[in-house]
Amino acid sequence: MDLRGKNLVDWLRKQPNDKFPGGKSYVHRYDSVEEFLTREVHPLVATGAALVDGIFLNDHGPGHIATVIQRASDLVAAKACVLSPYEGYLLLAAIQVHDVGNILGRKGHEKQHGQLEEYLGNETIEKRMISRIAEAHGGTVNGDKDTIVRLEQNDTILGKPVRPRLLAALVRFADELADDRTRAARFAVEHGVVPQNSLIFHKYSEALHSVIVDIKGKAIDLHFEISDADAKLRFQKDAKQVYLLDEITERTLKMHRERVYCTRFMRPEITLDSVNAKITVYVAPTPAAPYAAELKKIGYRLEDRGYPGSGYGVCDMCPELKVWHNGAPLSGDALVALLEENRRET
Amino acid sequence: MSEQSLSRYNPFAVQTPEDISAEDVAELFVDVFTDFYNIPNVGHTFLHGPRGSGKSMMFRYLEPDCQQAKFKKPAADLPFYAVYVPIKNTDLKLTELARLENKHANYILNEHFLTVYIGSRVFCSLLTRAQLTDAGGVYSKAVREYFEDTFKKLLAKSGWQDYNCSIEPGAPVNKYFQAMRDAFDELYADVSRYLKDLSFRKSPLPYSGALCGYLDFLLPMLRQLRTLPFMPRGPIFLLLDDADNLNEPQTRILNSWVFCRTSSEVSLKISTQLNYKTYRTVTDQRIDSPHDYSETNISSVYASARSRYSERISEIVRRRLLRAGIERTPLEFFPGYEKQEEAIKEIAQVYVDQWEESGRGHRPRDDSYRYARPDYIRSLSGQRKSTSKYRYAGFEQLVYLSSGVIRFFLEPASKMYAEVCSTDPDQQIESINSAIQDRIMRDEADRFMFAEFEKLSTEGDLKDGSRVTKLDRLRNLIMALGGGFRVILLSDASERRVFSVAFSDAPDPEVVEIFALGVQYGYFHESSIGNKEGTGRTKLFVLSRRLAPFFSLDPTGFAGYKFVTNAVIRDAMVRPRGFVDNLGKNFGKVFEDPPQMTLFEGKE
Amino acid sequence: MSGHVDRLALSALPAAMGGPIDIFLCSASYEERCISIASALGLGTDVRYPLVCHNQKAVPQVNRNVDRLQQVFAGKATRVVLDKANPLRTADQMQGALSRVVDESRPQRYVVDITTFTHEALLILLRILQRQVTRRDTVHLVYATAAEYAVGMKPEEKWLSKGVQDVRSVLGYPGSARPSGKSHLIVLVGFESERAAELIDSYEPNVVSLGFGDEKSGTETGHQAVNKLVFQTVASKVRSYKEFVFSTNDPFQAESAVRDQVRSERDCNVLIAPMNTKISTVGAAGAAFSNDDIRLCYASAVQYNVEGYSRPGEHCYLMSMPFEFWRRREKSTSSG
Repeated sequence: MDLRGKNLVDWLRKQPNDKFPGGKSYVHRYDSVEEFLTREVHPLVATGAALVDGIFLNDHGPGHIATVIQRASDLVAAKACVLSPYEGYLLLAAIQVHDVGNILGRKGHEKQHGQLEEYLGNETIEKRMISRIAEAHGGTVNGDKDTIVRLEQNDTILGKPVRPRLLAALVRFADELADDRTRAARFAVEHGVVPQNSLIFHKYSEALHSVIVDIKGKAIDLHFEISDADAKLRFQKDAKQVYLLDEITERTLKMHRERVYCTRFMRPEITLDSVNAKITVYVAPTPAAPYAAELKKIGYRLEDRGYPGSGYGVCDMCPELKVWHNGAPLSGDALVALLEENRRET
Repeated sequence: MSEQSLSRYNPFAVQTPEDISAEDVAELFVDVFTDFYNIPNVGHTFLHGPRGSGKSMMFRYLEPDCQQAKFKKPAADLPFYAVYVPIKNTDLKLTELARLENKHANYILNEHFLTVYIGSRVFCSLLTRAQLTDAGGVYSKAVREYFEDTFKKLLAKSGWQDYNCSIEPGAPVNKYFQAMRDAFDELYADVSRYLKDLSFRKSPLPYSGALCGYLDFLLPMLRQLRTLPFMPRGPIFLLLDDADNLNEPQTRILNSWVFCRTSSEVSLKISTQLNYKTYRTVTDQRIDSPHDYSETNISSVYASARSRYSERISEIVRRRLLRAGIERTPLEFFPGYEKQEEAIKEIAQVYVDQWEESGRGHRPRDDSYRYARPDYIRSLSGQRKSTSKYRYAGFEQLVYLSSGVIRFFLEPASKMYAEVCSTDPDQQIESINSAIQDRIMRDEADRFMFAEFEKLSTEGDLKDGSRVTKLDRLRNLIMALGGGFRVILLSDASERRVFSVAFSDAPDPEVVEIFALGVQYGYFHESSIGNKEGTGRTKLFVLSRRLAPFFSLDPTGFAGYKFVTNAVIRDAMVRPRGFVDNLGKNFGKVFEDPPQMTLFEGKE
Repeated sequence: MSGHVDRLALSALPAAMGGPIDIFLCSASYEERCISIASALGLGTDVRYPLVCHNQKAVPQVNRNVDRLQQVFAGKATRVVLDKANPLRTADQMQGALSRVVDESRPQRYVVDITTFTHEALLILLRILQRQVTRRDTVHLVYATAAEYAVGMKPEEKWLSKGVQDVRSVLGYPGSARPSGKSHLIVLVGFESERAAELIDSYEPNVVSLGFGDEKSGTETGHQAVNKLVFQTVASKVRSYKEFVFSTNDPFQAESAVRDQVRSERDCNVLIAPMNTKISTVGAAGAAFSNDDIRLCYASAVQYNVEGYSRPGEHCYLMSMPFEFWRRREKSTSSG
């Protein structure tokens, strides 16, 4: 849809009340939620209250939220994607609250949690929908990363049709795209207060200087810049020491997987076929070469390419068939065995 | 009718590379491929540079006749076979083609047009550049088979069912090449005729001619061509020169070919004058570097490695002088103004002598190198007409003034030579007087400055509300920055040779557009530099040193840059005089030093 | 060919017209000259369908002149909006306007004031007329002279336009080039040295022919001297070129000179850039009508000397265009 260069929040604010359930002012409700989170919740990150398991989290504050909203706005710019104003509210509310669990989920923050519930209104179904859409953005459910599939394709809430899977995929993928340098705790990195095992994450965010959603070209373009000094360092990650480039390739592969996953639920409204990564390694300028900072450019495109490989079996694609009969996978032999058993029983 | 030609007599005359013989190319061309290593390698490449920067000459050098002349090898032993495909304005970009947009087979017909154009050039190349000798008739047999089995079949598949050209067995290879070239010429003419009928028609016009595309025609044709006994084992390079002259659909089609990744068989070498229309394919996907193609910008390479450029020019000049029978080095042939250079040396010596007491740089030589020439220029500026006494002369200065584009050295040099010749045509010229060098370079700068802009001495600040065109803004921007750099040159700043600006904040689209226009016209070239925060890079705009005489700047040596804000530049585009006047009072607010300045103190 | 050209005082034009006009075409411009012919004809001449062309994005002077032309035709002129950035739209507009007024049941009398059309628009119009005009119709072209170009400036400083925005082939004249052929660029040099030089520089032809306005044929005195200066400036920038002269006030002679120049280089792809008077541009069109191989091109400018482009003269050229001008054909010179 054509947001005319604005973002989803600006668009939402222009929607009349009669487009929302009961003719209520959902715009006002959204503004209240946003203002509450900015005032009461996001500052908890700055005071270090969000330190979890010794991992210094990247920015979860208003800056990150704004980035996620912008990325979601870029995604919905596809011509075939038209959200209703109510869907827009649900999406934006889900974005606002999607990381709140990291902050409020721990002891001592129950009061803010209760207050947030109030700001989100009285309608439980609606609040639950927001919460489910938001939850699908990360992590696992019972160890399974396929969180979006648990939502409905289509639903009706308060008389308004909504597409929960589409909205959840938008939140999830926009969040994935929002890991750029605006998120890095640059100050902390420069002053050495980031714990060593978190440094790699911040370095990654810092290196990612732009994320472009090329809807027309159905691609995501990621531009990284790393200095030669950083390129040569190894950083602590879990029990290993890794190069920044390896972290970048691994994370872009993750983004590719997220793209493959989320586009399942965003089609036909939004189609994305590839993730393009461009990494520029530069040297600090010197008097002899004041402008020639670029040392090397690395680029690759992650996409579904060529004819599907023949390495996969049906049971690999449909794991439930791996134990089809008596612990054996689906096959001719297993079927014969089943039929023989049936014959003996009759 | 009269003809004028200086090329026989003037060693610096600029010739169209197409017209230069292979022997001349082998003799005159200075191998620059260590600077641009991607070009002769397998893989698609974009080569960007303003007119005159040497792109066409590089392409000419890659052609088989030049390669054979240079390396004394037959075509079959060359690493690649390069076909030159010049794309002159209006050759492919016919206005009539716009009638196809959203009406009828826009991409298919544009692709056919482009394909047959290239097809014709392939066989032109085999006719005129391959230099084949076929003593035993082996090549003729192979080409005949190719003609009958591959070429005719492809034509039939494309829709030209009744192509009935037959050539007697045993005919020389050129006969076959001519026939194939003519077939493509005819296909091209067919399209021209169709387009003419389309000129004034709003409704779609059915097309019944042949259709040739890259994947279904050109690629298989070239693939089979490679198997012929006289062809190199390596890929075929298609050298598309000035691809800016394609229309947008053709550009997208070419990008789609790049996207195909067939470079091990056919590598596309595409030159542009920085005005390439789009990097999207026909399906809107974007081709990107480095995974789809490699990319080189000549200006950037030479701006960042000035010494390499200087070496190249020196070698070009040396060869040309040698060819003209002039046994002088470039430095000897283009001497500086002795009186001026002596004065500068004296100032330099003072800096060396005083370094221990009051030096800024790390070494005595640093200060002398940095400040001697600017001090000399400053010493002249007090007197009303004295600024013109500074002479832009000497090989080194001329190299700097050419701003990384070879033609901007050769053309003025050609004029200088012509002028000296005209005073005494029989005299053997041993050098060019510094006064002549200076006058020609000043004329060049004036001409460059005024080529697009009005010659008004009352140019100044624009009144509010006046209708300001983009050219007005660009002119104002150049006047403001040039004037600003002059103020810096005459100041006591630690770095007085400044030629570029970078943005400390994000420039708005209008400002970017004006700079882009300036880059297009050659007044700026664009590069990148670390941003103020040290967290990444930002755009850097370098004023062309060709304008140094116009603004009385020192074109030599390392030149620094300053950070500016978008607001300051916007103001400069409207009030250039006010910008320059304001500098005296608010220098630090207008121009900010880059944070790494302290690293550069005293370093060369 | 039996066409003829008469140089007249503007005041003598109505008498020379000798009768009503079915279709009158002109182009409103920032030049005062755009009014000259229409004013000279005045209300006394019966013009059935006056068509006033003008560019859609125009400076205020153009819109004022459109209004003045409307007044001349007592409000019955039809405005035909052209688009100088979009030649297809220009062609469709002109073609559409003509189709609405042409009465095919009887001979039509066309009069076209060619003075202030752009070269490109004029060439497109001529091609439209070529397709439309029948043997029964009569076509007159009229051109109002300029007493001075680049008013008040010294000859060596005169400028009419600056910069080259775009170089494109003219719609209707795609020519019939061979990709394998050498290129022959023929420039009818006018007052715009930068534009001509830029065109030559950007095209890089194998052969350049520079045409220079014939001394005897200047439309007004003084123009020839300026033209010569400009010619020398252009020539100095070109490494080698051929020189020829053409008439600036007689389209038939101009056409003949152009055809001779085309023939002087056989087996070349010919591209012609008419940049002199509109009369000589008509000659270039005539050459293209008789030889399908010829491509015409146009270099649009970035900026025009709107304030002082020209000062109107007191004369005009009335050209009677015979049917043979529109419909004849030489054998194509291209092989294959």
